[in-house]
Amino acid sequence: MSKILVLDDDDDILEILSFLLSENDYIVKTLNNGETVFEEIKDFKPDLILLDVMLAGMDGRAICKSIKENQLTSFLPVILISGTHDLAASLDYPGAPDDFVAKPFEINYLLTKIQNQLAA
Amino acid sequence: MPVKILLVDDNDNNLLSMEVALEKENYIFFRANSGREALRLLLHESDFSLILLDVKMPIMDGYETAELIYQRDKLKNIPIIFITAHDYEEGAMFKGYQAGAVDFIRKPFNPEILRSKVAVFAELYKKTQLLRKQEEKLQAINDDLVQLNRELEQRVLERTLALENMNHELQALNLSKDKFLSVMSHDLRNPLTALLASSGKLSDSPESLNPKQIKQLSQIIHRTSDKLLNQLNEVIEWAKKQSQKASFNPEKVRLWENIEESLELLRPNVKQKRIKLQNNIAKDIEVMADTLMLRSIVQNLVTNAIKYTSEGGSVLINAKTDQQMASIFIEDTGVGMTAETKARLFANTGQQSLAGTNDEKGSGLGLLLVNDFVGQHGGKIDVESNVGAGTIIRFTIPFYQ
Repeated sequence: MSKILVLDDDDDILEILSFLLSENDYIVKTLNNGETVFEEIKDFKPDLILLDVMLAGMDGRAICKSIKENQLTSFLPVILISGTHDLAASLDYPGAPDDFVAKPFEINYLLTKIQNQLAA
Repeated sequence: MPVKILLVDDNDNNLLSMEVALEKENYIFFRANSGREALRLLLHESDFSLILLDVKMPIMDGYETAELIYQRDKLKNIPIIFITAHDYEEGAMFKGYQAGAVDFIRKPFNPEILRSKVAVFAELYKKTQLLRKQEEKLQAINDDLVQLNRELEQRVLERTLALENMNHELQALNLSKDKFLSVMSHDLRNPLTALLASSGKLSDSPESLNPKQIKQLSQIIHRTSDKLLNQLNEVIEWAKKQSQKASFNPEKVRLWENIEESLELLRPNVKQKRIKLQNNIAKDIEVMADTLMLRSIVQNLVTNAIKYTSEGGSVLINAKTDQQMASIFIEDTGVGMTAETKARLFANTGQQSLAGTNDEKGSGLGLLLVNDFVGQHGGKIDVESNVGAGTIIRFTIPFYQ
């Protein structure tokens, strides 16, 4: 079973994502801030990260960039989720996420994107 | 304009005959019997139009006297006519002109000639005085112009400053619009996302869900709908306040009454949390305020105080006045805040607000509004708080005397 780490500052989003992803046979761990993301990657060893752009006091894009720039974590696929920015057009920059989903998302669309990343 | 003439002769008879010759002309005469007396007179009396000066006098003759007179800057412009009994020799006349004479009259003089010569200089004096007055007038006009110019420059400077201030305000307004947009897109889309995902799951495959799962999804739906409603209300309030902004309408307001009315809506909240809410403001204080804005300021601040105060705590409202401003204090026994939170309280950072002690939520727009409204009153707002030690928020508005 693949493991997914979900970061969002909205607890309701974390709860429903956790519900839906578990139902689809993923093991899910959630974080409502970005402060301990590297510790969590080390302990939980996720296969994929779902990352919200707007976290309390932090920018998801900056977290994504540091994941991608760290040799130990750069292989991890990251899907960025955003309700405020349309990032689809700008995925091609250093430290960019592997894919992008806009809020509100359709769950099957998100699941397909996750499968694509895990299969790649 | 009186014409003052100084007559200098060592012989009283000569002085008298000069006066007699000129008496019809309305001149004012001063007499001196020697050069020394003439000099003394000139020290005390000013504005002489003409000096009639006898050349042949004992001790100090006319030429010497003239030289001494013209050594003084103040006296340089007084014309001197020499009276001489000597036969005119070119040498003597040259000496006289060198000493500063403008003319000579021979003794014994012809009264007609004396009158007409003196009249010429009297006329000259009057014209000179007139010119001087014109010049003074022109100088005054010039001074006025310089002053006017200075004032204009000052006004241009003030206007420029006012424009710069307005520009800053517009920039701030823009910033708050940005904040609004970000709150709209982030805070409304987030609960909508959770709402759509959970209701989608419920309606797609209800048969595959157990009662516990159904309950969980329903709870998410209920919670997020509630959140959405709150956000929507805040957005509507914000939009309303934005449109009211155009009409800042300060009037005389009885502070105690206005605050009492503002608290009315909050009483149910307070009751539910068993918080003591007290308006301790003296009933006679009056302020110059926009009633709606003042109400919104107080409601926002008191709502916050309630939000961050645990059950059984208290929220007290007091006021103090000085010569110009009334300070209103809202003091709670709540959770307080860190220096960091305090610092960004009124800043437009796009920060979401922290949840209350009963997990009350807010968009962070409330304090932005409060800051703006207090600012429109020309007041200030500041915060005194420590973690665990409660919070005192103070804002000032103009005091009505």
